[in-house]
Amino acid sequence: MSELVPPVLSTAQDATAFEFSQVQKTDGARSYLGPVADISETGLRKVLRDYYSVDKLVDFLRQKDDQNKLKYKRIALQFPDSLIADSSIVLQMIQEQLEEARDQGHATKQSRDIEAVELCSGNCGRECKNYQEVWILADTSYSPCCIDEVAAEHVSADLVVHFGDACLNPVDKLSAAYVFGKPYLDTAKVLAAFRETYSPGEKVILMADTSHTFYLHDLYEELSNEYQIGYAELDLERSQAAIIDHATRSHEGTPLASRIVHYDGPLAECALFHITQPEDPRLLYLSTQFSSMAVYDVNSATVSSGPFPSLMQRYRAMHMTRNAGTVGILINTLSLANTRTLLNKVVKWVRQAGKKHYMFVVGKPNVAKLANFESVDVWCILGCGQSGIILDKYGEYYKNIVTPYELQLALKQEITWTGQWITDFEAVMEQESEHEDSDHGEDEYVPEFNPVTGQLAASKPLRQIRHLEVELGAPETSGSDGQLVNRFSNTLSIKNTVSTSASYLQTRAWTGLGSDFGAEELEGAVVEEGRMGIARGYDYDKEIKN
Amino acid sequence: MDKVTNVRNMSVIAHVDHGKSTLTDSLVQRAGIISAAKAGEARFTDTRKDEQERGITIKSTAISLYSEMDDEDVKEIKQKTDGNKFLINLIDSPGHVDFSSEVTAALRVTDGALVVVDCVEGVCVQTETVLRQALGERIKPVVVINKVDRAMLELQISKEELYQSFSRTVESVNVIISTYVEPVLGDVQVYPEKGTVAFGSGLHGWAFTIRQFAVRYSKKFGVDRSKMMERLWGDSYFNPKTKKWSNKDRDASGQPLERAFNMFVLDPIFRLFSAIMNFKKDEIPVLLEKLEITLKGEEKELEGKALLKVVMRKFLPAADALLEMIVIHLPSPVTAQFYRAETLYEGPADDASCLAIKNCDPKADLMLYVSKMVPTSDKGRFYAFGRVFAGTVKSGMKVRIQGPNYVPGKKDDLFIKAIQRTVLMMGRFVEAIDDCPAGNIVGLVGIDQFLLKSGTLTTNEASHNMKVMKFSVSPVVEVAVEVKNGNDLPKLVEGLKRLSKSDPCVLTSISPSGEHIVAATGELHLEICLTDLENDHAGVPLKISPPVVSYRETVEAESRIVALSKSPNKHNRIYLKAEPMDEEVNQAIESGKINARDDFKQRARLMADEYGWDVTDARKIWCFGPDGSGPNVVVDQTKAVQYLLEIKDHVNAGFQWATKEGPILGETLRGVRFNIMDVTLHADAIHRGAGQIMPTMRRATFAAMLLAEPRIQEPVFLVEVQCPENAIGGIYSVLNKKRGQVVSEEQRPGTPMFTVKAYLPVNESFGFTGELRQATGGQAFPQMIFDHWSTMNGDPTDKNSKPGEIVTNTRKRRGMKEEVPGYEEYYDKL
Repeated sequence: MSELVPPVLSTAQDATAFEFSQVQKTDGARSYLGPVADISETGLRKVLRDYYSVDKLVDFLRQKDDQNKLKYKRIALQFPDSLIADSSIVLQMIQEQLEEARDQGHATKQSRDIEAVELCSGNCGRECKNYQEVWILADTSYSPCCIDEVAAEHVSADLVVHFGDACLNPVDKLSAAYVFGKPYLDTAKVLAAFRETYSPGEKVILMADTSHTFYLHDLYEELSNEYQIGYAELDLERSQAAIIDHATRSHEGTPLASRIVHYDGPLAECALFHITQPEDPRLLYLSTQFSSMAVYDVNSATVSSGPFPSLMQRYRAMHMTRNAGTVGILINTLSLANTRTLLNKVVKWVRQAGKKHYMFVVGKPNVAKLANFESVDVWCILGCGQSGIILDKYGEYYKNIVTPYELQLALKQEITWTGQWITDFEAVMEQESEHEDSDHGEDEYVPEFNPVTGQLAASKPLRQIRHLEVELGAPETSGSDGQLVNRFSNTLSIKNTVSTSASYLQTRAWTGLGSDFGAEELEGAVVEEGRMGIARGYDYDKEIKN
Repeated sequence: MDKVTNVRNMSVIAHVDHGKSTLTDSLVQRAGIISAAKAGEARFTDTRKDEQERGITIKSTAISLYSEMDDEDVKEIKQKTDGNKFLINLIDSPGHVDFSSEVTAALRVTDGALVVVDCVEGVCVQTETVLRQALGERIKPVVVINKVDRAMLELQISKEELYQSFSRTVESVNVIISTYVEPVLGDVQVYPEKGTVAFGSGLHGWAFTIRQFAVRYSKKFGVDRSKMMERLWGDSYFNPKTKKWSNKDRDASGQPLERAFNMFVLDPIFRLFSAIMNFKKDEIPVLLEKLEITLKGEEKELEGKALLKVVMRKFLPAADALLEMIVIHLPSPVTAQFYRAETLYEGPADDASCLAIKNCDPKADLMLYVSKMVPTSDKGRFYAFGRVFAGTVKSGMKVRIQGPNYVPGKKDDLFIKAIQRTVLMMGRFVEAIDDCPAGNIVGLVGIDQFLLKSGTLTTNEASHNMKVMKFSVSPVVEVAVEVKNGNDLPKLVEGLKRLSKSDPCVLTSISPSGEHIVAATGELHLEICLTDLENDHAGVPLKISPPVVSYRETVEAESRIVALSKSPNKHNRIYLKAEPMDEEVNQAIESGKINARDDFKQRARLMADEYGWDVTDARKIWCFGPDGSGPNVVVDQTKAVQYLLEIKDHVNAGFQWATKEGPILGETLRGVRFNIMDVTLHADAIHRGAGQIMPTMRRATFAAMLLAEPRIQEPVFLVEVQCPENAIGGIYSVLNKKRGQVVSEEQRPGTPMFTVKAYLPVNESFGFTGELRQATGGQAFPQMIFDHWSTMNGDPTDKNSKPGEIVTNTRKRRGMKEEVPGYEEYYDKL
């Protein structure tokens, strides 16, 4: 590589300097379809029709309500990024089939019963009450496993059809349907990998993402003779939504993370064999529930057993939270039930603990966005337990990000760590114990020891107000030095509360334009004695002459 | 106490087992706290059970002694005094190298040091270390050569040999002093003839200075005392025939003359020894009478060593000699603070607080430095132990408690709180007092919760902090601790807090992978800390991992190419180059000589004059890191970049973040200079905010480092082993096996003992003591002290090299990706 030379004029900005980096083109291979012989368009359409059970979906969409009106007029199809390539084909198929069905409807109705014919000739377009509009929703704002209510509201959809893997969390106020798809799985390879991982007789639970779950029963049958095995099925009742083309065998079993586990005995003793790599938060959650974990990767047909995100990293984050003065509450979902209730609770907890909080709604939070708010000491993220929680495995984020459960632990007076990791909002709220009113006695300003850094830190800015007043004293009287405006930046309290942002701003070296004036010492040129005399003869000429 | 000129604050410092605590006992005994019979064995200042059991001092302990001097003696004091009553605040410090931090804390609050040197072993590694520290703190030393009885009884050496041994020891102490002395202190070398060296035996409770003998003889000879003192040391001989003094060791007729020191000082002692130890019953009473020693009834029955002890103690009481030396030669707080003020205070030398310290003014605003925390009998609470440098501290007084991170005018690390009680620390006991004026050492109750290890107390709002203590040792050995029972976790955390309070040097943290880490200076220190933690502070059973070493990340060359990182929005770019800094600069920063808080112009001048930096470069140092003070810097080398100062804070934050957890194994960086070559910024402020710059700076730092031949540094111990000649072979073979490097091998003159000095990587030091003992048949005991960081050869990114192996293991342990990321991960193409 040749030496890189910075441009001469450093702040020059032309169009080429700021070109957006090209998005990497992904290959069109759809590995989840398995080995497909026919990759022509018609072949693909056929395969996808099966994969997404389009026929059954259309039947569902054609449902009518009591008054024989179409139940869903505006339909949104939500695809995760990995399946977005299929969206146009699926949309096309659905539209065609819906149209077909509508045309049939027109035709049959016209012929059968003249009375029932509505004022519709079949080409009345959008005005027709038989007309169903279909949208594609992509680029989900928060977690792709959840129903994107906000995007759906943009098109005021009646129904969201969610494709691919899903968290099945209940949705507040929208009808939803799930299509998981039927991905290809080479069961022989799975069995081989399974047998390689576990020795016969071991206690193992089989689990998979929602798309692969329908294979589990077959695998279970195959393996149940050799191992003490159980398997997980989808917990369909919990989601309160329609599931297209998926049937469960029984509802008896232990409910766990939107699954029902069919196994007799305590799960904590079992190992977990998970087909496909779950998202980090779910992975962490599952790893706290089972004794060990192995993840089967479908594409490479290999089993990996770590490294998984560790709970101990969360323990560290929890300790950092104990010493945080300002909590940024990051809302990373809008559709989950109980979001608002939990949000209010979190705010209440933070206030009671004498800490400061700010609320943020950030679409797709990333390192840069969160680093913009420097006065925030720790982030508390409210998000879906499957993929809506940011787990900072490699320390990329400037400040720690914790879940409401961890925040709750951290705000307790006594240090507690349960070894559990709870992401479900309801469960977190159930955990809430009566917050003992901490004594407002002498010791309330005592700094706390932070075991992470081994330092003492004061972390209750709101409690400090009285303490600070002691030294702030009376406000300075202005006017004496001719200042028109009192210097405002030295005050820490605004409207009787301590402003952590103000105190942060005070620590900054850069305080605005002109703050660097005079810092750089300007060195003038040394004055030298010049020539003397006039052009006809300078004084040194005279010397020579003489 | 109120007469500050008559206070002496001093610490007793020495190598391990040279007899500090034992010697202190004889002083304590004089104060009537322990009985004379027990002195030398009681080890009054070893207050902890394990200290008594192990026979070593672990924590420094303070006691206050009261002493009265003859008016005659008072006249010799060359500083201002008031009356003949003196208060001596004495701190006995540990000698084991692992506890050097305790010594540092003790030195901070004292003005003088009693350096104890073993007459047989001579000046050892820790003697040098503590002496260097003492001089660095501007503390005046006096020397006691201890264990003279051992030399006489065990080694049976002659008078002249003993003299030679004494003078060699004094010589080597002076060599160290002249190496490290600060010019302000003046001449602080020690001279036996001036009375700044004492000789004695702590175990037997006797000691003498030349001055004492001079006093005796000056009356006899009718010579001036000071003249006599000079004659009693060095090449000065007395011819008994002519009754003349000469400086040649032969008289006119060529007959050898006896050295005056041997003749007048050693002779009576030798005679007593031989008479008593050889049971010459008839000779003893004669001698005793001559020396004006009277024995009481039962003491007459004694014989052998017991009798010797009693006799010597009456003849030359240790306390007399030492107290006299301390009072006459060590500075009073008034004298000492005059020249110490500027090294003690962080703020400008002409502000009110600094002047108050300089004048030791009891009426000024309070300036008090808390140097350590001493556990109380009330579990979990501590006395804040420190020294009043200015003003007067009273019970119930409201003070500003300024932690080490306090910056004047800011609210960080600042608390206002009333002192509940002030106490005087007396070894195992405390004594409540009402107030305590400047110049004294004091214990405070009720402020322990606001300070972790040390801090400044003041009543003046404008006061800066007192300078933070810098330790010569570094916590480089660490273990992970876990509770056996999950429910005990809160107790562990509380225990860790107490542990970090009670020890000045121990560090506790949680690793990125969530383990509780305890870091200490050496194996012994770690062992003590962990026993304390398990039995005392936490009181719960613990699981402890095998010890590991902490490493540092550094670079060996300049970055091959300029590292470029773009901000997430691609609108800002930072061009950075990394290069190694000189080791001297690193050490200067670590020792606080180059201080991030200093005025940048002064700092730049210092760096230019002493470390060969370019002045303009040195002035453009943006920040130090990690923690704002570490041995890595960012230097602004840009030309005419708009808005540059606006991003300084973000660059700084990103840099602190990056230097704390480096790219190679997540350790702190050390000795890397980052030059900002150029910066491109977006014209709109919103697009060059913290979120854009901070992560970018971190990425650029990593890229620049990975492009500059990254290396890891491991800590290295200096090992000193004393052993007989036949054990040397064993030492060498063990050292070779452990990657040790022998620095020197010397025979101690006059003894069959050899001193081997070697560098040993800390990583290899685990179990070294045991192996050495095995290889030498138990004849060699090593003293290991952290010496320096050494860059390991080999590329840490190459898994097959030795550093690569360490990196892989560490990354695995910390739950990081096993591969060290390539620079491409942090580097953006133009």
